[in-house]
Amino acid sequence: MEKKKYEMKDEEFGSVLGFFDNVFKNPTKYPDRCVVLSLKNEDMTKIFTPKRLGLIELIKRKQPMTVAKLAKITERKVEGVIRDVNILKDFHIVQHEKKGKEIMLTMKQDFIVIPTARIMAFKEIKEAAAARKPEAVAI
Amino acid sequence: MDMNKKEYIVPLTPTDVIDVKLFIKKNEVVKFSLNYRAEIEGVWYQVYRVDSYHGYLHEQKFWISPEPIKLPYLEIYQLSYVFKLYMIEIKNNFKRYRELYEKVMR
Repeated sequence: MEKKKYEMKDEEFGSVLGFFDNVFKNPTKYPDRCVVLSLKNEDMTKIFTPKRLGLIELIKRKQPMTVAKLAKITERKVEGVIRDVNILKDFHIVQHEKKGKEIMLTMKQDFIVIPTARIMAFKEIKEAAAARKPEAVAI
Repeated sequence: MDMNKKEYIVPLTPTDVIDVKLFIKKNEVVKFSLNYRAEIEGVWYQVYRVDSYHGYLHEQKFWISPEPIKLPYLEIYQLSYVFKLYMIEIKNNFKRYRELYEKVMR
């Protein structure tokens, strides 16, 4: 079965639009160039595993980098590194370019991940409010 | 106050992205461009573009022609609003744009 590829969902896109609002308000606070992603917290930890974060760091520091070199440095199997690199490529964090027999990996720019704001249904808001204990009011 | 130039890539799928270019001055968007690119059979193509360069708002539908189509009816709005409007427009229609572009390529 073919693995489902990443597609930015509407709620994630909404968070990206929110990011741009903030950029307009305070441009100096945000990077001048980067890839903008939005993910839910649970997806963030699934995608950015410690091993993948390690690969990102290596590619960033020693680009252009080959898969073989990455496998050697990290003492991992080439297949595992290819799998991780392909996921990072799907999110446009890493780029690859074929040079002869070698595939050169580069990271042209940094990336920013915005946590996806969870939209709550009115029913959920009411339930959350009902579950909260009334706060003490000082008279 | 200085002009802030920003360049971002918003990935929609592994093979579809929006390139965003913004020029911001005093918290206002003074110029922008949105470029929807698609990877088709390993090559990246520019499929759709909207920008306010050359002093006027226009879009380019590359499956028809690279000729700019003026958008004068949107000139009354703030560019930050038009920017958002077209971000949503691209997000909602990029698959259709891609299909149209692929049809022309065949």
